[in-house]
Amino acid sequence: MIIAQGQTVPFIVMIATFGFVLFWQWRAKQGKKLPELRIPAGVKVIPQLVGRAVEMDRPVHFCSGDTGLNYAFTTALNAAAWSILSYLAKTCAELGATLYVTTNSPDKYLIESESVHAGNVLAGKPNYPIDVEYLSPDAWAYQAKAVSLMKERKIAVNVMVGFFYIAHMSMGQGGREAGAIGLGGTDGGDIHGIIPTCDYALLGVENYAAGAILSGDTQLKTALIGQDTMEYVILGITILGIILASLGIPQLSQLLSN
Amino acid sequence: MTAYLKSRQPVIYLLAFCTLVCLLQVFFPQVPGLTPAYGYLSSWMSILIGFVYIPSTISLIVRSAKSVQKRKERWYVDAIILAMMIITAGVYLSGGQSMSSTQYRWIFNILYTACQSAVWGIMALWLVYIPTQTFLFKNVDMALFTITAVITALGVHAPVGTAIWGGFPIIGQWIVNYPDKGVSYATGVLTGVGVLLTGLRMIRGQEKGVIA
Repeated sequence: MIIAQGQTVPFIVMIATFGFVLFWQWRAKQGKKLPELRIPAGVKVIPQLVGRAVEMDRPVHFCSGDTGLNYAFTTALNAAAWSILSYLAKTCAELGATLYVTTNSPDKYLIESESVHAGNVLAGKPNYPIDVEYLSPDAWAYQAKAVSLMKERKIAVNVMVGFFYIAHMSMGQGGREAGAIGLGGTDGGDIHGIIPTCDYALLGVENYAAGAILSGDTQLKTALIGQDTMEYVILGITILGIILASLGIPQLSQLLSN
Repeated sequence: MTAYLKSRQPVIYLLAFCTLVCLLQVFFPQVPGLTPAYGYLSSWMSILIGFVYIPSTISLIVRSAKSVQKRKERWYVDAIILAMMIITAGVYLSGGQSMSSTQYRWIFNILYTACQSAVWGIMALWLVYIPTQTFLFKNVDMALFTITAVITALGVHAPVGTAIWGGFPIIGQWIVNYPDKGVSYATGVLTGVGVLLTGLRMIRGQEKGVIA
């Protein structure tokens, strides 16, 4: 067989997902009505958070987790985080807020600088200050320094979207103790650190949708609708699988294991 | 031509090509040339990541030096960072560029490991303190979170739970086996679709945070 063993179903899911996206893009081009998208509270609230920072004359802090680019499974979440960073930088430049970014990874340092620059350009202020600080490659040293900076600078807003191995709880609590409103976002096992320490949370797939929602681009909107369509299909298959497995019919689970 | 090279298009095409090779290698590893191409790309990624250490390290040096020069708050911490950076680099270069030299190993074993353990110890106490925030019933979500956490802790992780009431292990194990696993799988599946679409948007140059 030409497809690797155990990869047939993932391959079909991938092709079907791309197919759904193309279908909704085709409908958008035809001028037909598209379904409305729900905007997560964590996304809607960003301008208000930045406004708070301006009123208090205190900075906004952003960090995109404590992992670098060498972990493949965190790359997509990092990409989503940079889209949010770009939007945050744009909002800060528009409203005149001070944004600083801390990172523990040299490879993310350059990309985050570019993301902030992109946000500044989109705001029409290409020379607005870019403050990205590489603190330490060691996650413990990084979080200790980052928390220290939060308290020292008395941040007003703490945005932490990305994959965290160990720093989520301490960074979130550090922000709270500095008097900041927290916006967290993650899709992994670090959710338990985000929820208790952040006021707003982007959970799971909301992180990936955030960048597309914030762009306001119709093409990206259709991609999100395509994504949701696939999720409904998966939900349907899951419910069907539960019913069939409960009735003692194993064919569907056998088919999906291919 | 120069304007084209400066635009985002070549980056997008390069990214699309690399992503396609990586994707196809997963699904069709037997197609000739795909696996070696994937290997070459992985090697190039390591090389490129090696280069990005230079600007980030320079930024760290410049910021620390400015802090010391302007006597900013806690400038002495930056002075220690700078001094340690210079000493470590000097020891490495003078010791035959080897990490197994006696002096380098002394720095690593006596200074670095000890400092790391100290930070670990301090942060561990901090991490013990943070979950107390969870046990505040701030809203319905947090109340649910707290009740589940207490039952799971008493039923699965703390033997004292069994001593208090025999039902704790049964309820705790049920939470771990069914709602926890179900939600984990559901989140994983939905996240997978999100990752797939994020990849598609990156290939098409629509993730503006990535391809600035």
